Amino acid sequence: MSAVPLGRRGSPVDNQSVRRHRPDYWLVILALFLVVVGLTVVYAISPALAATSGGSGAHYVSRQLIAIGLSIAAFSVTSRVPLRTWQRWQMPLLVAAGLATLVALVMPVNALYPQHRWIRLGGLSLQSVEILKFALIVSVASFLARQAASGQLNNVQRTMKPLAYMLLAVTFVVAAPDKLHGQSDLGSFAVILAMIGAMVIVIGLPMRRILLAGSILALLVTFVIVISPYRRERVTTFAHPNCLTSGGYQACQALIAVGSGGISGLGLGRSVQAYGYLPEAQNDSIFAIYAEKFGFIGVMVLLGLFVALFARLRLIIERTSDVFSRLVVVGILAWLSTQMIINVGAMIGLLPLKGITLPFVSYGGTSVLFVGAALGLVFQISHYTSFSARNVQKGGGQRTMNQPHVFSPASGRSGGTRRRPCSSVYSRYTFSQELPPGIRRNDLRLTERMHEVDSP
Amino acid sequence: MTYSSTLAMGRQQGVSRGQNSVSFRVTDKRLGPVSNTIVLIVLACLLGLLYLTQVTKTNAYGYQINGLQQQQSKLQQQHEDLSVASAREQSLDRVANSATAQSMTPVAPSGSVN
Amino acid sequence: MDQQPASVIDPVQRVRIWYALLLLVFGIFAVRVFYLQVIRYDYYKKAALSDQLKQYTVPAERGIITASLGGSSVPIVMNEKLYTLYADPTVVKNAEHVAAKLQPIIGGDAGAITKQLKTSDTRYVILKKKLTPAQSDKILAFKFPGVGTEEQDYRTYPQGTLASQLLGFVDNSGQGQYGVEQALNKQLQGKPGQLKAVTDINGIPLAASANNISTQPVKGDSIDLTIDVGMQAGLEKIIKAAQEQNKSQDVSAVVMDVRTGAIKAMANYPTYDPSDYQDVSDGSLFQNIAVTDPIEPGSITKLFTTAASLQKGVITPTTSFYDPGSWTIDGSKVSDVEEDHSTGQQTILSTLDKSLNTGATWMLMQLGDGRIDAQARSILYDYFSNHFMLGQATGVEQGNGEEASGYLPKPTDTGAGIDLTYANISFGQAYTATALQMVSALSSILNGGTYYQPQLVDQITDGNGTVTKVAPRVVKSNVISTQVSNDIISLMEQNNTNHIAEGFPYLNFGPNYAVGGKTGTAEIANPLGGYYSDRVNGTYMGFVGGNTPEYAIVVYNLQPTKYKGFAGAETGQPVFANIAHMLINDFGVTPKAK
Repeated sequence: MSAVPLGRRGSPVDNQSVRRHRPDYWLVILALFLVVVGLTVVYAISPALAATSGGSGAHYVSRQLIAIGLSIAAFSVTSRVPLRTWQRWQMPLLVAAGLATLVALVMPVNALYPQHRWIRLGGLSLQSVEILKFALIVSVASFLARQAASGQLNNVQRTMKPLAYMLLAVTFVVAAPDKLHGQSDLGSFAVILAMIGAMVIVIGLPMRRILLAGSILALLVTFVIVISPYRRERVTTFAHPNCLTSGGYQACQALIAVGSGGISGLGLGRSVQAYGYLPEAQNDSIFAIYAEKFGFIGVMVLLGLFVALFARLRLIIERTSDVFSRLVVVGILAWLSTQMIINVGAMIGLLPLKGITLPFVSYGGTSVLFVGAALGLVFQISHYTSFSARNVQKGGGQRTMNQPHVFSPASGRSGGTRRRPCSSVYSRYTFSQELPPGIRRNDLRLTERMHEVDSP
Repeated sequence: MTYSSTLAMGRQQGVSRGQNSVSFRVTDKRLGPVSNTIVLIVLACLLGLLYLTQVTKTNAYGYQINGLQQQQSKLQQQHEDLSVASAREQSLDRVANSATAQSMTPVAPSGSVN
Repeated sequence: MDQQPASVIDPVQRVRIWYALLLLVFGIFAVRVFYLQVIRYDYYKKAALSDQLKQYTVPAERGIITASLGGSSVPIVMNEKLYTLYADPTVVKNAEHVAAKLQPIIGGDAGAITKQLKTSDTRYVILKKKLTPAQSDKILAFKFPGVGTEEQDYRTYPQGTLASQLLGFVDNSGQGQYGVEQALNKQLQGKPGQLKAVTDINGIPLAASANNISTQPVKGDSIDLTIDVGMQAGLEKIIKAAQEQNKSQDVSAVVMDVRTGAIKAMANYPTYDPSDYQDVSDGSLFQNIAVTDPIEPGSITKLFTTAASLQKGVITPTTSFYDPGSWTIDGSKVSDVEEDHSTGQQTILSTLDKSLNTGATWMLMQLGDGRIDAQARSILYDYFSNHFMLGQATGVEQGNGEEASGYLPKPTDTGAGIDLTYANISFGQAYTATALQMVSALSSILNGGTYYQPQLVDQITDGNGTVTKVAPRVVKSNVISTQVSNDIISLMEQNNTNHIAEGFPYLNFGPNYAVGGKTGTAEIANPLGGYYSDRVNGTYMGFVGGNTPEYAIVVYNLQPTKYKGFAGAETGQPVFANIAHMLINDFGVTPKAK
């Protein structure tokens, strides 16, 4: 067995940098499945949307198709632009996202767009928070990787404080209610928290600090809920859903949609709740409509698709040697999973309604666009996964300079090491000699230091 | 017989004496497994699309039916309005007051009480 | 890992723990979805249907009413959808502007409309009713907030007020009131359809649902009346003129086809406009008094007494008898109204011509044992009740219980003066009958002895277009013999001829037509007892035909105040004559064969 499983021309010398290999096509396939499911549902209910909320049926489908097209374009861009470049340009990216958010905040609100969440240009409208999510992942991952590389991860002044300030800023922009000219978007705020939290946890910040920050945040969130009447209402209606109150209407209709689907569903063209009963049928409530159409079996398939996608992401996390790359994937997994949980949880009455889309599936250009962009990053990273756990095992737990891993999968358990690489055919192909984006030859120092962080 | 098959036959029989023949392998143009799969997938997608366009909008036919019914009742309404108008035009008062009626003269009436 | 302190969690482990938590959440979701979709399915299905399944009643179109005109059927009652313009003053903005825009379309006074639009204590004001679809569309095009139109079904009457009292009207709740509309309400109404369907939020039925039930409404039957529109219009014109000339309380007349009992025209004046029935303040105007208001018919009854006596064989058309000028019966004197009454020989014809009450009483006596006795009473009663069907409703298609049966005293009534009562009945007092009862009885005498039920409905066309002809219904055959029928016809004709000579030249219809009749001047009973001295009803009963009578005509001119002479001859007879002339001139009465 070769010490270097990836690339037949690979030599022990350059295994510090994993060669580019065949990417994880499952990512694309699973995502496409989800997108097609969403598009199908939107297509199927488009007459209902046209009849109950005006416009033509083709409007929704064509807009979604355009969004998917843009999303694919974004995917191909983010999957090609080297990760290093992203890392280098993280600050301009964050600044751009911040500017976009500011533009959204100064946009006047109207009946169609009741909050400061959208940037509207002519007929286009962008949800600024989606840009922010994407930029934050790149930026925070880059920041944490740098801090980790310089061994300052535990430094309160240099790591904790900037993070806290940034969080505070995000809180005031995203979570603050309309009164304070915030976006009043607690759902997205939760997603951002989950993203950053996941990155912080995975990079290995002491749990004590994480828990401390967590409790402060919990207090803050409670405060925000208490001062915002419509959030209070959402929480109370969550406790007692009732179709007759304006606040409980959507939650109740969603439950009816899901419940009336039964085991096998009403059928693709036979949803009734989409015909004006369930608000946001194409968007936030698309899961309930899907459940009504396809029933329990369909929901299991959909959840299965998500689980499969998340499993691929997790594998990539475990097999990515570069800290920045891994953090990016961690952030994206947190993003997609949290959003999915919040959305589906609300539809099945386990969580309060948050007004958040179901990734890949929901109608809505910005979400589809940036989820596609994020997936592009993951796709690029999946070129550089490695199987190096065996390598480590061979070394009997001794870490050498040749070991590019930040953390050691060989934690004495063989479970992680038995996994196959993301693609079983990697060894048959050699792609290129270029280094993975996270690793430069002179980064060897970096990996060394990170070992110190990890294992003092 | 198509042109290509003629060519192919020619190639097969084309080696004859005295000719500076170039022998070449007849390349088998059969589709490989990958192309087959792709073709199958594309076909499945097309079928799926066809199915989708047929099946997805079952409930939405309600709108079409409703539209047609409204059109029907509107036409019926128009028909009714027209028959009312026609009946009014033909009412005795109108006919009696018409120019034609005015210009008529009674013919040998049997008389009446005045 | 072995070298790491236990307090630091390995990042890989963190990822795995995180992922495990994620899977746990997925598991919880799966369990929850299972609970919702499988265990609680019935509950949610029911909840869904309680929202989605809607039930409607689809109103059936009411049948139209037609009548014949020039050999074909023309609609005289139809349906129309008109619009009611309403406003919600709490929503209306800029009332002055709205009113200014509405006024040219709906008419009226802009100021008044503005005032209505500013009503503060209601959320619903009706600005105008009965707008046409075009008007409604115009108003809706303004898109004024709080202003809308509502569709409403109305009956519409292309012939105006024609036959309004026999037709009746349809009230706001869609129920027929009075006349044919009420009598045949059930047939006209049809059967409303049911629609039970899963709908969208706006109530539009969706196509795919096993729960959808739709039954089409069944259109109401169309009723084709026996009425002839032209004849009805002519009759209405004639009685209107008479009512105005005589200043009568009411004039009503009925024309019946003696061969079938079909009512060809039936009218009263004053009448009302059925399309504005809600504006009628006097409810009695809704009544078709030819059917609903019986009166003591007066001397026209003498024809019935004569027919009964002829049939019984106690007299012949040429019988003459001694008229003592008056009879004393039950202590009261029965005498003649006519001025030139005198004692002496009289004939049956002169009894009719001079309308001798003493003659009619004499005939009644002949039915008995030369005097009014139980036998005379019961024979007269038998003929009036069982042959001429007086004292009982005819069952014509009018109202529900609207028709009056009239009153015919029983011969066995033991009260004081039953003989006097019967003497009165013999010349037309002391019993009551409607014009319709009289015309039906007369028809049975004229057509040779067959009493047909008076009939207004000629045929019924159901929603599918199936036509059911309503056949004439024989109530009683052999009412009288053909011989008696011919005798009466001849007596009536001679009576008519005599009247021409007596100063009524308008009764001359020429040699080609057979016209006969009998006048009646009926006294009106005072509810306080006795008869009014200052008011009478002028009545007339006659026929028009050629070789055989075609139309029987009864005229009731009620309480005329402006006439000279006898009411029967001066207010009933001219109306009859005008009707007879009209029938001969315009409606193709078959002339006598040469």
